[in-house]
Amino acid sequence: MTFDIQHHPREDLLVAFAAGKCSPDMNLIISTHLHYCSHCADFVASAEAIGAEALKSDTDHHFTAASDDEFDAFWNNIIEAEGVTPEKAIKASENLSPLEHYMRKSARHIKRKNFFTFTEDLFPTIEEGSRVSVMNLAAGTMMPAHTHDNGMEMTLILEGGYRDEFGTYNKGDFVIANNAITHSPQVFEDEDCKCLVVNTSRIRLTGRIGSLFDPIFRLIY
Amino acid sequence: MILAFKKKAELPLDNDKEKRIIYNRKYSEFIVQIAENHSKSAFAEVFKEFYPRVKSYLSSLSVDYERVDDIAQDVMTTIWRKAYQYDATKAAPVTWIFTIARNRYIDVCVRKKKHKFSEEDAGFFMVNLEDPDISLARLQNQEVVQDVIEKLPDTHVELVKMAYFRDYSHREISEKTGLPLGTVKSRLRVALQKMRKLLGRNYDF
Repeated sequence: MTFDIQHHPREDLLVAFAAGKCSPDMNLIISTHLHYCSHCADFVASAEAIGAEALKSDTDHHFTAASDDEFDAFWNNIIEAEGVTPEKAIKASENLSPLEHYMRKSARHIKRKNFFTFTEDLFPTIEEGSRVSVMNLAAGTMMPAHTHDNGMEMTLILEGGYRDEFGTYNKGDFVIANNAITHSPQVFEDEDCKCLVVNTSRIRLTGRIGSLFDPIFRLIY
Repeated sequence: MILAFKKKAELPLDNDKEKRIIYNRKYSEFIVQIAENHSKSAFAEVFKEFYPRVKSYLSSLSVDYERVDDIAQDVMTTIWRKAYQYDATKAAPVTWIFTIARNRYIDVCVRKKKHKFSEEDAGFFMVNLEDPDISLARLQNQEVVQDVIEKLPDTHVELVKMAYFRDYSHREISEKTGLPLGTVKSRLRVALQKMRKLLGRNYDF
């Protein structure tokens, strides 16, 4: 990808991803960022090379090779018994992002929801308290002021972009907001915005009018 | 198939680096023989070397003791089945094997959480990075990654390895290394920033 990505996941998040420590929802959004961002993809590759060091001997770990008997037992009981054979190379027919691939697999479980100013494809998730969706916002949409209680909101911009009090965000950008961030995102005037959002926080509408609507918002969102 | 590794011709190779290159070449060749010739003897060499290491890695992640053997064998089976996916220009053989072990570890964690979804459905909650139709951007190749790891001070590599891949707490790292707790935290941050910067030289930011 040749466009200019300004906002990336933080280094410690990328290493946690490389170590398999992130939740499936976070794996989805981070790996989709990596589909667009070669810099972070290479950072993850470097982290994986460090991970490979954990398979090597060091002062606390000394390895001796498995025996021929152990291999023979494994070969007979698993490879031979189940008839497992090396697979042929498959020419990749597609160039899908992890999100596109995931949407195809889980199409039947996705729910379309309509709100006043945006529509949303809501995905199922196995994480308690996590909300995963692809949001579609029309050009120029102004989102009401809100903050994020007890968690994090992770956004990956797929098309278009928006600006808020803290910056301007474009395709490929990965943005995190927590309870320190109260913002009113505004979608660019000239382009619709599509983004993947993984939210472990509770969105709370702020401001005088926002807080009046918050209980209703809570019911429908 | 000839694996071409560009050598940095100007500098003499030191002993450790040379050992590593020979080791990587040896196991890359075995994996290629599995993919191209379905070679049982090549696979035996890979199994004998890596099965104990993968088991040890999974144990250190607190995978249930009874499941370690099963999952490690699953990793070995995946090597046998998916050897065609190994690309020596993208990763060292031990790194490729590490990523398979890491992916199986993720599977185990996800299946523990399946809640109201069935065992089959658990699969679709996971991003299967091994699927050939998924592409991740990659500007550089294995040499750049190796270069970054070499330029990173050994102490930094050790710290990152301990904190993220061996699951030591910061307190445990502090006790093992003698570094004050605060230094462990800040040095980890410095290590990751240095990794970012070393890669940054290859990009136009």
